[in-house]
Amino acid sequence: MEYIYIGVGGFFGAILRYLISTYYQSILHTVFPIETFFINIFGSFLLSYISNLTLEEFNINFNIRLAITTGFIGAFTTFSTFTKETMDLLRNGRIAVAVTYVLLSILIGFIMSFMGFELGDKTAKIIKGREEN
Amino acid sequence: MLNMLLVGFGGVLGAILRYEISRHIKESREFVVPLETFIINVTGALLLSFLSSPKLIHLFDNDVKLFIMTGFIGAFTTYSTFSHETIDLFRKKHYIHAFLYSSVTVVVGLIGAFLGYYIGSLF
Repeated sequence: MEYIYIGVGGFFGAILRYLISTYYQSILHTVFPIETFFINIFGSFLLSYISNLTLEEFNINFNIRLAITTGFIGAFTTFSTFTKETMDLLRNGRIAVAVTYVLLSILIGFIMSFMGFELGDKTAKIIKGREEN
Repeated sequence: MLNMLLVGFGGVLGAILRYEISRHIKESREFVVPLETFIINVTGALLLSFLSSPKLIHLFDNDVKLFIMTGFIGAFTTYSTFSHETIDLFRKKHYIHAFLYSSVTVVVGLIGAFLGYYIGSLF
């Protein structure tokens, strides 16, 4: 049953990634793969925020949670494109851009994920406080 | 419109396969490092570069590329889970695990990409 939920999430996550990257590629022509960079760091924030917020605090339907986290955000972000783009940059001799791309993706991805966790905690506290009053 | 549907249905299959594989590996693993995401991401990295190698890429038309590469493999691998799990390890004070998981994923993922590209070039 959960397959349907994950499938629906994956459907929209993959389409949104496709739309954002084709839109960016049509207006920007940078060597740095900025579209994948933004997709991945934004998705990292979103996944940690939503996972942490819904983990224990709220009675969100398990299947809906899977649709959003594993399905939608999981399919929206992509690791394979990240490695392929890095490899292409290295093969084309764009060593500095490749190194910058990898380091920025990892570092900012982690910071965004960390902020997602923290904000998730804060949001949960605020909502709990409201419920108690 | 057709392009979007191809990417979308590829994404359906990729996300479901990722869920299935990670569920099975998770059940049997006995340590804290998320081996399932590592295997999924490295496999996907290798596969995408393999299919995009110059000799193979010409075998596919645009529809197949959108369905398999952008949709299926793109949704099968995941960057957000990688960041999320690293920070989760970090917050649980598994600092060495967090460092090893993230650095090994990136290094082996890149080696996988080069290997896939190289194997594809042999055909």
